[in-house]
Amino acid sequence: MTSANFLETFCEFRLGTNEHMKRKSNNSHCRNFRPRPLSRRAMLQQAACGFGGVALSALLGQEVTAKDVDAYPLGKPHFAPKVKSVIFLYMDGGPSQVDTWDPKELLTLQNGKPFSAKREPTQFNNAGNTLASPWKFRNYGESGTPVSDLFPNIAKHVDELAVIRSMTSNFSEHTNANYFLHTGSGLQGRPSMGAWVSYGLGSENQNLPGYVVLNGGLVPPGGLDNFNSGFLPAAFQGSTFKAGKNAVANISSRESAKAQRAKLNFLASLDQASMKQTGAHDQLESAIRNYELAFRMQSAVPELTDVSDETAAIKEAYGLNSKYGPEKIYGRQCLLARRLVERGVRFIELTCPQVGGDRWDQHNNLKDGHENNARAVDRPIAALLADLKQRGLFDETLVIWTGEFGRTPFAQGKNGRDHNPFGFSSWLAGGGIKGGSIYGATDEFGYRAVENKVEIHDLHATMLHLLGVDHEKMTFRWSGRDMRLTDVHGHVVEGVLA
Amino acid sequence: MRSGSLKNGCEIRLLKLEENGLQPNGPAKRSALLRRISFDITGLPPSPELVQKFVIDESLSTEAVIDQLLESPHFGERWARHWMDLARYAETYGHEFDYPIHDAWRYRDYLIRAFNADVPYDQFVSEHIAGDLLENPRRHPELKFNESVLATGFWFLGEATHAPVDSKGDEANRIDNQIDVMCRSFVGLTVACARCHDHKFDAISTEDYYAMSGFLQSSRRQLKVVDENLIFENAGRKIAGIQDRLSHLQDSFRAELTKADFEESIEQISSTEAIQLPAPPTKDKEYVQFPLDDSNWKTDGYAFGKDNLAPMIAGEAFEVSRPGTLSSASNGLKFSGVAHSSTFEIKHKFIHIRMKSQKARVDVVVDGVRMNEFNALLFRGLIHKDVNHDDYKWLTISGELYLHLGQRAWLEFRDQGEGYFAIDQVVFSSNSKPPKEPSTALTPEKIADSLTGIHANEIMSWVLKNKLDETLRLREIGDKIRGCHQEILEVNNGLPVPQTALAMVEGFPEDEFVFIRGNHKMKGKIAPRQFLAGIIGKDDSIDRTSGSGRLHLAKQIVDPSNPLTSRVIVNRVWHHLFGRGIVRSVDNFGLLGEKPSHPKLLDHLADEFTKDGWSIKRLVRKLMLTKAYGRSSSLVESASTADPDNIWLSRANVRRLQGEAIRDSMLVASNSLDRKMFGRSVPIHITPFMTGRGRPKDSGPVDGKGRRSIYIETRRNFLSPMMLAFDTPAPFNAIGMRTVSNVPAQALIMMNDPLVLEQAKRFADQVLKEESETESRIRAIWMKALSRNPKDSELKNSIAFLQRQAKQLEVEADSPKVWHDLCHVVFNLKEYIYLN
Repeated sequence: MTSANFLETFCEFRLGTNEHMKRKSNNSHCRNFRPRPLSRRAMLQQAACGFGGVALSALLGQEVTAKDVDAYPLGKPHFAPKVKSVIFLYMDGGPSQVDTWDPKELLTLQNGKPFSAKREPTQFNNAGNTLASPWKFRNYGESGTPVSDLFPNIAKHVDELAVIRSMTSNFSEHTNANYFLHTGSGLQGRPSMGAWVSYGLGSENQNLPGYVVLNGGLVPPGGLDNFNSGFLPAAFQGSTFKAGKNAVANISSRESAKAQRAKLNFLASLDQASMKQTGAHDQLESAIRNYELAFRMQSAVPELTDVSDETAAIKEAYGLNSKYGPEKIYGRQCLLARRLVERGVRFIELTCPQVGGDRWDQHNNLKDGHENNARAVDRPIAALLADLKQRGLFDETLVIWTGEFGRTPFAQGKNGRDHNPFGFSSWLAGGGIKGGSIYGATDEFGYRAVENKVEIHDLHATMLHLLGVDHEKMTFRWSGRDMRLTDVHGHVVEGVLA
Repeated sequence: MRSGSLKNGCEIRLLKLEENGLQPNGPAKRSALLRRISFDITGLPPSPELVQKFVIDESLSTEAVIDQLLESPHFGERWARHWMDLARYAETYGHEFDYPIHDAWRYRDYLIRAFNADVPYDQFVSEHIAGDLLENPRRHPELKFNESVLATGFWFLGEATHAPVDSKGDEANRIDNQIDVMCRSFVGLTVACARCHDHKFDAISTEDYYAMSGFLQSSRRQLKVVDENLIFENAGRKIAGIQDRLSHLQDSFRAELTKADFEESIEQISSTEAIQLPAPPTKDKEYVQFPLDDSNWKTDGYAFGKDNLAPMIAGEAFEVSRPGTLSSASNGLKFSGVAHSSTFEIKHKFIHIRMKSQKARVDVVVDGVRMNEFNALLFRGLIHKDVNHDDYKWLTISGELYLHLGQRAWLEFRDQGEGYFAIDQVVFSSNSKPPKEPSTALTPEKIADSLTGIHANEIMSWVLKNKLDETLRLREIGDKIRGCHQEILEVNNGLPVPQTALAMVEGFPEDEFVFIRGNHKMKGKIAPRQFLAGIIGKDDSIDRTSGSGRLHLAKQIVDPSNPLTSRVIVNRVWHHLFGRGIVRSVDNFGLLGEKPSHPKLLDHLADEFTKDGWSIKRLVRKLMLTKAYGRSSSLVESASTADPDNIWLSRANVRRLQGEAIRDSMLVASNSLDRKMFGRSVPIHITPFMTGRGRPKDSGPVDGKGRRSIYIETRRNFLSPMMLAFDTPAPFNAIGMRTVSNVPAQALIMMNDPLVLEQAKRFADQVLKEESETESRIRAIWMKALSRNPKDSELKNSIAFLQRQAKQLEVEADSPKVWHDLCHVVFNLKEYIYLN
């Protein structure tokens, strides 16, 4: 039998008589075949889904509301969620723990003296003497949590924060550490936590993406891949919103709305007519529908980024009138973050603005560099926390503040600090968080986490937990494995939970 | 590899079929079929001629169309792109600064040529794994350079971190990616999880993983000369002939020297400067000698003659190398080459090298880290890019070598085709100063006594250099020697600077340790190199001492007794033509992959494929000629209910075009496609949204100069937003199956992106130029874009649209603007973006 014949016979047999098939099947033609249930997940992998999963519901041929299925493409939440959205305040470059949230008296006492504990290799291999913090710490709020003078405004909300002083990372290099923080792997190409969250939970808003990155100007080392969807479908990748008028690529029509509408109407009529012939293929229907979604997004995004409807007091509070450019930029981002939360967007990441000098990466001139970076974010973040509270959104939102690592308690050169993944500080605030608490501790120098060590995976697990997701159960089959954001690691940090 | 049965599943399927009476669709419309065939083979829409002959005149058979298209050079461009997804092809290293991977595009060109030449797939695989080791490498048909070795470039297209604080860990990650890409691509297995623990489901142990790792530990990255027209090979051969003559002349000269009457010319000889002799290797225990012998050094390139005692052609003066010298000068300055050492543990803070050179480069490569090329942080002083001194002197490598004590490294000397190097001592020491050399000189008085000793060559050189041959009555033979020297210099004149490509070469054979739980700081037992034991058992036939063993590995991978290789590729081709593999998880044939829907069929096709000489083109042809491929995609409700995933192929799958094909087809429609093939990539267009470190200073043009998408630069940190939106994978691992997402961002691009709008405009302007009547214009648009005539209703509705739009835009009825709009609408038709 020639192969073409074989093929035809083969395919005919598949479509042929029952008898024929039974005979062949015993003969193992399809012994290994296993019909695949049309799972929601498989659908997501392979075909359509709009930002809000609308197209998905179309695929499933069901009328569904945002609240039941679409909000949880994985099925039901694993347990009752505490929060609906995450605002991730990424402090690019690695703020110094001993200058922000983790005061160490010993550094002051031994300032300028040789560092007396064992040192690990550092990124710049230019380690100097012990370096005291240039900032004073004061106790704030009822909790009395100490905060350095870098954050006088955030400090006012200290009773809402759970400060983790025992964060660790696995990498000393920005890029690996950024990928690790964002994706749970130090290598390029894995899905970002925002992609996981929108994959797991969908979005409550059909006209906006589930994962938005508000780009303040500094894309972290490692580039846009920090926000990518990796092996998850492209629909879940972070949409980067640029500051300014045209926040999203190609969001502005280059013609009048009427002219465009007329084209889209004509397009739809042609598409519908040809579908009558080909049949209503799922992909085609979804693609058609995407044009309507895209059309609506053209107005939803500008409506989101236009803050003219905010009160003067709000604008002032966020720093929109600031004379300090970076603060103005960051203030606007924080305000947009709140507006995105209001609109049901799941995961919002804010990147840092340019402050003239470097990001929070003070290999020298710690004092000026940290001061500028702090000045850009302090008031806007404080305003965001206050605004979320005032609008009743605080309890539905998780706010995370962290860098990719911390900095060394000893100097780099004379007045800088090098990268330090062995112990640093982050804080959480919002729904389900034990406000006014301090979790974990570093050694007497603030160098290594020594008590209740928290890994990046633990941070991810805790974040998912608050969203109602069991980090061990949210998986995606790729490369022969059920992949997780937390890989094979991660424990929920109970100590920061209310 | 697969076992177990799922009889029940099968029966359930059969019952369903019976209930639903699945009937196959009839053949697709000719226009749809032609588009399917054309995009699948070339990634481009069919030409107007083909549409005329096949769709309108029906004068061409399907077979003839397929054959014609398979001969198109665009076939290679289409299928190379599939392969680039597997090779995680990119032209930068990503990470913080996105440094360039120079010469990556040569691998892309290799792929295009290989697919066009229909290189047998087993050969193709062997070239990837061991193209540098093949006995008879494949040659470029016209330019004659070695093609096979270019394939090995794929090993080095992964991401890379500069300034790794833990360079051994960095190396482990790099090798992990190499193994993963190789195994997924060629044998459809995910081996990477065995880095930390035995594979839980497939028969792959950590030992297997580290046994594969050894192949890479024993191999190295190198820039190989792409010898177009065999310029260097031929010149080298010519020089070898001259060197043969020269060698005899030298013998005679030395013999004559012993007979020469030195007394007679003693006055002149005495007034000549003494011969400086090399210091013997120091006896000082502080200095550890690194011998320059074959067991510790490998050379690669045209710069190295067969005999290192050949004269050095580094200048006008005749000079024979000292015995034991590592010299790249025997063919002259224009020949390039690399000498690299065995791997050693860094135990000293200083390496002293006694050498002379012009424009030579010296690298200490620690744990395979090469990124200090771009950013020296933590590796300062380990590269000397331009070593120039024409006398033997010590070069001391110091800098941050001390940071890497205890790590493994090798030394590499590079002659880049514009100079040479000659090394005669390498010593390690904790002393920052090189050994003290006792100055020795052979005074002219003693020369006569040394003529047959170890300094015979130096004396000969000295005589010739100082023109004493005339005095010694050896002028005739001396001139012949100078003549040969001159001839070699002349061969060098006019030789170009060599072109290079990324390639793999042999390092020094070594096996890797098993890292316990993947932790490179916890070494377990040695894992001797071999291919997966689950496939070949324990390998007793591998030779682990004379080389890396990659050629052996390549042979095992393509051996017909290995069931995976042929099935994996056949399944990939099936996947590309039908939209879904027989094994859907095309990169994973392991137990965690999906079961084959039609295992016997896959067996059969794989069997025929190997018997048919592993020809991809003939496989494509065969599959395209099946009824299943040619069926209409019409959705019959009963069939879509009974078989929603269309496992049984009762209809053709509707498939969205890849981003590349969408872009390229718009360029075709607008008559803007530049069909030029090959060469350096066109810089990527940088939009305001593409920001971050390493952002290129200059943006490429919006339309990529009209080149096909495969020729647009792939920068890891600045990937094309349009391609990303249409699922071109981010290049981090082998991806055989692209996700097919369906998101509004795609619609936004097609609606508003300047590239799309510009092409729509050019498309319309072109049609307006060619046709003058409204109807004929609309017909032309449909034919060019959709390979068919418009239906009456489409014609009528288009005319109405044009009129409405003219009113809307307040322009004349036949203003080009309304035609721009019509063409833009056509680009957005699902029929345009999808294959029906």
